[in-house]
Amino acid sequence: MRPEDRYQQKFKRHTNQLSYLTIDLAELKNTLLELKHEFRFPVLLDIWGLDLDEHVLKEQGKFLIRYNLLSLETSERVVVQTFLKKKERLPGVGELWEGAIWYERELQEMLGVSFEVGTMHAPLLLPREMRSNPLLKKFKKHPFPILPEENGESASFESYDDYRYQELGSCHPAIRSQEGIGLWLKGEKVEEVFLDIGWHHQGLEKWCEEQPMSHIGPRIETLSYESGAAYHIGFLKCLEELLGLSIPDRAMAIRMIIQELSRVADHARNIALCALEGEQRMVFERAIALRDLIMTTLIRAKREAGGVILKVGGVGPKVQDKWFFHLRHIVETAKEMAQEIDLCLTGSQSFMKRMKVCAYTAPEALNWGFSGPTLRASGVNYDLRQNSPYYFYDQVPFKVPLGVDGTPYSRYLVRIEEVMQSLIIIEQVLENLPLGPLSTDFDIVTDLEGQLKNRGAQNHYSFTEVANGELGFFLDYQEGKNPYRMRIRSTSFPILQSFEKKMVNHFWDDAVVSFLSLNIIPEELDR
Amino acid sequence: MKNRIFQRKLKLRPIIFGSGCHVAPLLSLFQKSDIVQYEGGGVIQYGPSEANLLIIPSFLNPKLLRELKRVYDQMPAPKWVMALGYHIDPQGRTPYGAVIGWESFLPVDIYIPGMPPSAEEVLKGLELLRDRIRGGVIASRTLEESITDEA
Repeated sequence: MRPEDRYQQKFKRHTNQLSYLTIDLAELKNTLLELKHEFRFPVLLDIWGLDLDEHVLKEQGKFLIRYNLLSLETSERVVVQTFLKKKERLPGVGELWEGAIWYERELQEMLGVSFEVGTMHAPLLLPREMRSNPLLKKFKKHPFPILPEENGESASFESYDDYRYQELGSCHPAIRSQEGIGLWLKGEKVEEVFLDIGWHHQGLEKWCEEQPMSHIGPRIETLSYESGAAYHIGFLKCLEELLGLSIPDRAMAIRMIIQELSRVADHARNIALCALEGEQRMVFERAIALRDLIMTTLIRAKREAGGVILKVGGVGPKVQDKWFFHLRHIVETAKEMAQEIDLCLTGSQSFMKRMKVCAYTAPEALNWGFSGPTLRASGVNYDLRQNSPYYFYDQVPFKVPLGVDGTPYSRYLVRIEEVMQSLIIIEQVLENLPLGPLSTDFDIVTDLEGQLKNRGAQNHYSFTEVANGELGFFLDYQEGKNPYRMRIRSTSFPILQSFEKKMVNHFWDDAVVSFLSLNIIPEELDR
Repeated sequence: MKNRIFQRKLKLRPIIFGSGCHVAPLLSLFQKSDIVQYEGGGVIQYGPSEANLLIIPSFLNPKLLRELKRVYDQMPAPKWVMALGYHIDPQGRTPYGAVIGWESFLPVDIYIPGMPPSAEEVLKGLELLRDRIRGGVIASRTLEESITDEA
């Protein structure tokens, strides 16, 4: 039995991989349970909502809540949506998926959605000074009352008996990024973990609502340094599908190259940090050199093309052919370097001993909503480039490496093999680089508004595989140039969430290794 | 007295606060650039207690500001602050998360606008800062005061 036959008119197919299911609030929990167990949609990718204050559907309710589910077998997605009227409460789905809790906390603080009794949550991303809900349409920006609280929190975290409080943030040298991680330790073992995120929360989703769609792309690029270009491509893909543009073959191929390059750089940085943690100083320098090589290549391409390599409808008009000749040499060098890292690190006993800790099993990883290398390291064969291919990924043969046990060591193995496979993909694309124009005639400045008006009000979800997993963009368009609502499906958000419960009863220095190999990007996490 | 100022010019020890998109290029700039290495001695510090130049590379939200204040308080007495990035956007297009007017807590010596500023601009800013140090100008208080404090 398929979901179409079961739900009939409530089930609408959008594309062949994405469908919408609109149901009443009372049936919500049962429907999600049915979808999870009977129709095999085991992964909860995202929960988000939008304020219907200025929307076409505003008579139906106050909020529209959407649950994004994924089936691994058919790689289909279903978006379960329900309307929430004033004074109605949403049931929590934390019993079905553990990964739902942070999304619900986000809903509560951003939109002011209230939950049923027993599922009340504390704020997650916003500071304590903030009393209003920013994603409401009535929200007005006002300057914060800036009063840094002196010794507000630290008083309650004094150690007692044989319990000790250890802070791994926000500027701790061991983790090199900024999330507040507090560990309650008994001896060397972790008893409880406190995560405090939102240091880099900048309200990007709200900012996007105030901008024309043409302005959003470059801002998305700053979410990550190594794979920033890949993030930009992810957004452009979504916008082009919304506008109904088809881009030329040559542009698609160049975008594939850029995406794979940034994947190599991101993995190389992560391998370098893991190597440093495993006391392999030489390998660290080698891996950082690999990352620098790739980043320099990308920066060189950008500089030669006059600052623009990506634009709506293709790639920048000045991307030069001589860069591709340069790239062939770079790929060869990078391959040698990757092999060298592989040779030094994979067989190293001390490194292995340090990294084989804190295993994530496959059901756990699915329960938390993992994607990308962290999911594949647990042994789940799911890669968007093969399961739902975009651009020319279905024409390029490559392997998807799988891990066995989900330890940091198998994550490292998956990453180093993905580096090799990415370089192989780049080589193949360079050999068969199609000729033709670099972009369509579409001019974003003059044609945007007319094109959007022709297409009418609609919404679209698009996804790409970046270094960290599935990056999704959901654009809801009503009128004018701006999006009505834009949702970024962050890759780090579900991954960090699992850290809170997984690290209990592990040694605290293992927690550091595990955290590093999860590859959390703080700016992208907080958005 | 003059000797001390000269010493301080050589021993500019920056600490870079923040992370994400702006930090990685800044770190590599400080590690690779000859100008910084030879003229300023810009060896990056990983703890605030040994640094004397605080570099704030991106915008601040209230949560981060609280931590920044803690880092600033831990730095020893003659200290300089350099702010880069778009949190000083004159058109006020900053997102709701950004704090406006945090300068009242941290006296800033030098601003470098841009999103993010290029390497040349950062180096130019460092030159300017060095001129100010040579002249004995310091935003938090005058240099003489801080020297007497140290003694």
